Amino acid sequence: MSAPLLDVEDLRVAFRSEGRSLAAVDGVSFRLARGETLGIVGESGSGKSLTALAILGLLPVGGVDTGGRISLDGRRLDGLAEAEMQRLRGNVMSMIFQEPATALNPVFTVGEQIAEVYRQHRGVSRREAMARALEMLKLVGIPSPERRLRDYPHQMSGGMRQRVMISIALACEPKLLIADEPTTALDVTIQAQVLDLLRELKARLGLSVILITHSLGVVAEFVDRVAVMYAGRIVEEAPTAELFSRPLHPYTKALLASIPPIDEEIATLQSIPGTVPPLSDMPVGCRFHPRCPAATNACRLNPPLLLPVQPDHRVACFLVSPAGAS
Amino acid sequence: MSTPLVEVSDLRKSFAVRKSLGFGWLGGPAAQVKAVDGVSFDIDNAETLGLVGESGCGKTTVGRLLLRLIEPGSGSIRIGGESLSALDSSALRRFRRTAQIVFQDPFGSLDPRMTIGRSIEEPMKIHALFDRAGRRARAAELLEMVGLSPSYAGRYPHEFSGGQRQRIGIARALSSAPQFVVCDEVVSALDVSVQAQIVNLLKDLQHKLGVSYLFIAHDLSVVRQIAARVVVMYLGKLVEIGPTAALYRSPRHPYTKALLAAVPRAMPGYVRRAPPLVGDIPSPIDPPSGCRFRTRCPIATPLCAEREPPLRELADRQLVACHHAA
Repeated sequence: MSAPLLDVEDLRVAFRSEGRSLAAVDGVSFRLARGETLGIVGESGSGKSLTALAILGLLPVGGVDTGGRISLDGRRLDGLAEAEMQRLRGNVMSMIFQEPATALNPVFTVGEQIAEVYRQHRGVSRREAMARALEMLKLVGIPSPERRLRDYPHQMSGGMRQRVMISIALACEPKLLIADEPTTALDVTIQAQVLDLLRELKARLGLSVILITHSLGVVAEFVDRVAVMYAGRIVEEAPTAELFSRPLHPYTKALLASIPPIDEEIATLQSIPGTVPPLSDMPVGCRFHPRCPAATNACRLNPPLLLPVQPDHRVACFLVSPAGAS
Repeated sequence: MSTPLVEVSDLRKSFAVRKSLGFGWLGGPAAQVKAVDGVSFDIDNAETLGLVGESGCGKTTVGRLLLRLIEPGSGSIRIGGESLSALDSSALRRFRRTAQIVFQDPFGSLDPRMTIGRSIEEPMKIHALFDRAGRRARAAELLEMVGLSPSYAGRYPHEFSGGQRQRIGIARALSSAPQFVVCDEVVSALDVSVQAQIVNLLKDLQHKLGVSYLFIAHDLSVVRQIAARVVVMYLGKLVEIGPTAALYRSPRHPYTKALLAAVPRAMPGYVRRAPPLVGDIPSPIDPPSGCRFRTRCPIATPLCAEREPPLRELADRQLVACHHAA
C-alpha cells in the first residue's frame, strides 16, 4: 500500500473557556488515500468543520489549543509557520465553503479573484493569470466565460458562485480539496449539477477530496469512504456501501434510521431522543451514551477506542466486538 | 363534500424592484417581479398541503399572502368561508386568531428578552383569551403538548437548542387555537435526527387538534412524510398539484420529474433516473415567455415559447401545467 496523501493522527482542537479546556475535536485520526474521496458526516457540533479548518491551519489563533499530527504528502503540517501554510493553501490543498457569497470578495470581479490566487502561487504575469482564470471558468462549465470573467459575485446566481469558488480552489491544481457543505445552500437541481461537476473534476484532475456534510444522501452519492463524527469524535468509519448496509455504531444506526425516505410515508419517523451535548457539558465516557438505547455502565466510564471490526471498518463502541475478539 | 378550509383562486402578487445595471447602487428603471402569478388551490380541514419549489418560486410569498401578512395584487383567498380581502382591521385581528405561522428560524422569531412562557402567552393576551392564571395554565399545557417540560416556562430562548426552540415556536402558534397554520421551512435549519422529532410532533398535533397546515419546504423527502397533497411551484407558477403518493410515484410535469430525480438518495449505488437539469433558474424579473420552465425543459417545443400551458387534470386530482405531459 502506498503512503496516504493525508494522515491525521489524534487531532485535538480545544477552546479555552473560564479556565477549562473544552475539546470540540477530541482525538480524531483518519487517512486519505490518493485519489480517494472521504466523507465526514455529522450533525451540528460534531466537529467536522473544525477538523477541516485544523488541517488547513485556519483555526482562530487566540483561545484555541490544538494537538496531534497532520501530514500531507509525507510533510508535517502541524507546527508549520503561517507563511509556510499560506504557500500551501490554495496551492497544494484548497477548500470550498458552504456559502460562496460570503467567501468571495464583493469588490473584485470573479476573474480577478481567480487570477489572484494563481499569481500568488505561480508568480506569473497578470495576463497569464487572467488566461488561467478564463480556462478555469470554462472548466467548471460557466456559460459565456469571457463575459463572466468581468462579473462581480453579486451578478451571479448561487450555483454560478459556487462554480467560481471551485475555480479558485482548483486553479493551482491542488492535490487535496476539502469541500465543506459545498451544496447545502444550493437548490436541489443546482446541487445535482455541482456534485456532478465535482465528480468529473475529481476524476479528471486526480484530486483527493474530503467532503464534509450533514447530508447522508450526498455522502451516499459522492464518497468512497465515510467517517461518522459525533460530539468531536469519529464513532464509525467504513466504505460507503458497507456503512449504509451494515452500520454498527448505535449513533450511525439511529442517524440512518432518521432519514425520511422519499418514496414512502413512515407513520412515525425514528428520531434520536435528546440533543447533542453542549461543549461545556460533554458526558464522560462515550459521548453518545446519554442518548444511546444500549448504553451500559462501561459506556459511562471510559471513551471507547475506534477499533477495526474488519480491516476497513472501524467502530468506537463497547458493544461491538472488535476483529479477532470472540 | 364539505367546503375546504382554505380556498385560493388565481392569486397574484408582484413586487417592484430596480433592475440592476451591474452596479448595485445605481438603480435602473423599476421592474415588476411577478412573485406569484395565478395560483389556485384548496386545503381541507385537518389536511396538510405541501408547497415545494426552489429559490424564487414564490412559495414563501404564498404563505405570507394566505395570512394577509402582505396584500395580494389580485385573486381571492377564502379561509373558513370568509374572504380575506373583505376583512377590516378588527375582523383581521379576529382572523389572526384562527390562522398562524411558524418560521424557519425559531430563534429569530422569539423575543430574546421574554421568557418562553410569556412568548407563548402573548397571542392569547392579544386576542384577550382567558385571564392571567388561565393563560399561564394554557402555556404550561402547550409546553407539555409540544414535548417540553412546563417548568421551562420561566427560561429564555437562548437556553434552548434549535429543536426545542422550534417546539416553542409551534406552541406559540397553537396558543390561540388556530384552525390553520403556515409552516414555512420549519425543519430546514434542524439536524436530521431533530427534524424527525418535529415532523412527528406536527403530525401528532394535527391528529389531536384537527389543524390544517400549509407546509412550505424545499426538502421533498420531508414533505413526503407529512403532506397529503403537494403543490409544485416554479417561478411564480403552479406547475403541478396532486396527492402526494401519486405525485411522487408518477410525476407528470418535467420539472417535478427533474426535482424528484435530483434529490440525493441515502442509497450508495443508486442511479439517478434523469440527468440534472441544465442551466440556472431564470430571473423572475424577466421570465421566459409561454411556459416559464421551457428554457430548462428537456421536452420543450416552439409551442412552449408561444403559449402558456393551462392546468390539466391528467390523473385523479393530479393537475399539470404542461403542453406535453401525459
